[in-house]
Amino acid sequence: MYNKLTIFFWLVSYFCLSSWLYAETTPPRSGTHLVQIEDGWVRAVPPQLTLTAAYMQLKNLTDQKLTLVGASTLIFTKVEMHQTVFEDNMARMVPVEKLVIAPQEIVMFKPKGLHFMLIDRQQPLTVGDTVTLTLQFEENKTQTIKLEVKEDNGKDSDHSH
Amino acid sequence: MKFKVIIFGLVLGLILIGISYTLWPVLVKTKQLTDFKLTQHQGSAFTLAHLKGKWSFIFFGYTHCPDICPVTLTLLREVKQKLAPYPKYLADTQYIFISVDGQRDTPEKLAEYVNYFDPQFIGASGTEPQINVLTRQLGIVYIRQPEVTTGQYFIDHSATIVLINPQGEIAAQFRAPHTVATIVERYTKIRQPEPVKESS
Repeated sequence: MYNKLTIFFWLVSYFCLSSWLYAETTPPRSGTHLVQIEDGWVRAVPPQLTLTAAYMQLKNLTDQKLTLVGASTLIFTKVEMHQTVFEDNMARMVPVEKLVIAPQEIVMFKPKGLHFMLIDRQQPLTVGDTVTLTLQFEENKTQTIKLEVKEDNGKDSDHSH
Repeated sequence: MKFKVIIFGLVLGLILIGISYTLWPVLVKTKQLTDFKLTQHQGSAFTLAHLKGKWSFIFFGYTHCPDICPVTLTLLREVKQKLAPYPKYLADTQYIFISVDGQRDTPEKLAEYVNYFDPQFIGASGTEPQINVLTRQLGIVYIRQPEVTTGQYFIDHSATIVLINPQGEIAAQFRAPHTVATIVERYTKIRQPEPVKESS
């Protein structure tokens, strides 16, 4: 009786653990279209500068809320989400740890507002180059997007015309 | 009796607020700057003398600022382009980027940075006390944030663009968010009644 119980215990443990291990090692869902990107670009900066910003229109294509927790790229060591805010005419950057995007909601990453800050560039970048960015969402969901390095023409910020 | 005193006080207060409100632009307009000493991107000194005889748009920031600084310098480049139909204004207007991060923004780095936006833009910086001589006169505030990693820090800073007239006085202050149109419009309006006295 005792033996049977032990075997049962081990079996249960095995199944629990294996499913847990399996879940941990499952490749993240990528390639699926969680979000749609429009007008994505990376700000071209002087060659010596090792940091810049990325902007885009990001639409949640799913019927569930998505929580964006960060991004990564091989070209920069670190990617952070920041929000530029003006308080008493002071420009400040506030880190954004998580961004909840409602189903079908469009979030604007744009100059003078929400942006991805790309820190510590590892290779030269010039206008026309492509930066591959992997967006990381909660529940181990990812999506890889491509952004072109462009000069700021003032179009995306409301300072022209 | 006490009630009357309170009413009198309130009315007096309102009148004073009214007077200061109407006088405010005049007061700001005539604020004469005193000398300061910074280093410009070509390595030479940058002082009050460099502002005299020209109209100067000044913006404060730092090169490690990924969003608002490039946005504002791009905007100033557009202002410069919009002034193209007024050759007279174009010739005697200068654009200055003053880094509040003298520690990292060496003249060489500043040179590359400002040249990227426009080869005619001037970059200047200095030590903290040197920078403060100017920022305090212009009401510009900046706060260095703690280091994120070694040597990596951000600076909160005023986003105001200051316009200095050829006499070295504050002529206008453009508060953020800026638009090319409003800056060009206000600037050309300020320049419209050109002083009759040419030499003074």
